[in-house]
Amino acid sequence: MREYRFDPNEELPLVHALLTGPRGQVRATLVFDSGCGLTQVHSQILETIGCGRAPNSKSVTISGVTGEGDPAFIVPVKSLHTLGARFDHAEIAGVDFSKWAHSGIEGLLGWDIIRQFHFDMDGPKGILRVF
Amino acid sequence: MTTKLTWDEITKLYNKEYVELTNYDWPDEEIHPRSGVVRVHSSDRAEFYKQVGKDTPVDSAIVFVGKLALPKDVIFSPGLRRVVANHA
Repeated sequence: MREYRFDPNEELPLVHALLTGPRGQVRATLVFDSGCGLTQVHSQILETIGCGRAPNSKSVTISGVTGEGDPAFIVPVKSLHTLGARFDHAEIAGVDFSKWAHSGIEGLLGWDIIRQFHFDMDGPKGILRVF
Repeated sequence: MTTKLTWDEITKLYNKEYVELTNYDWPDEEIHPRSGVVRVHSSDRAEFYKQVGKDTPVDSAIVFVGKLALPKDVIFSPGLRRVVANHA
């Protein structure tokens, strides 16, 4: 079992992930968000590691409870490392998170990744235990 | 700047700013990095990424310093987002 800390006083649980692409790697803060179907990362971070939008990128739309609207693209990264596990060739949605510029959030760790963990979340103590 | 700072020093100097750290120490289990060299910082995220895009290092960490800065009276609700394929 491994234990990861998050701040129980924040409005949202935050974790961090290491994203690796052909041009390098960036560690960034993501919301632990089981309500998000596919992991989404600010498109400018993906550009930084060489995984920005390409002519052959699959274009998609991000749909939420308030309706559809945010355009995005799907890109494979070399790997995504989070919570002690590495996911090679993970497909990530690149989203322009500019409208959340004041939130300090660079993306959402989605259910596609979260579902692969056996975990226990202690909200009051801010501990995420991964088995 | 090439001085390696502790997280406490970073929070005092760059509160409410985005920072890009190189030569950082950030154990998987911890919420915040322990230390790092601040290469780029700005309170304006667009400006921050403009600077990050110049001479980008091969290994860095991007961090917002401070607590989430959601606007007053706004409830942030990123959940329940799914990806829908676009059809030609």
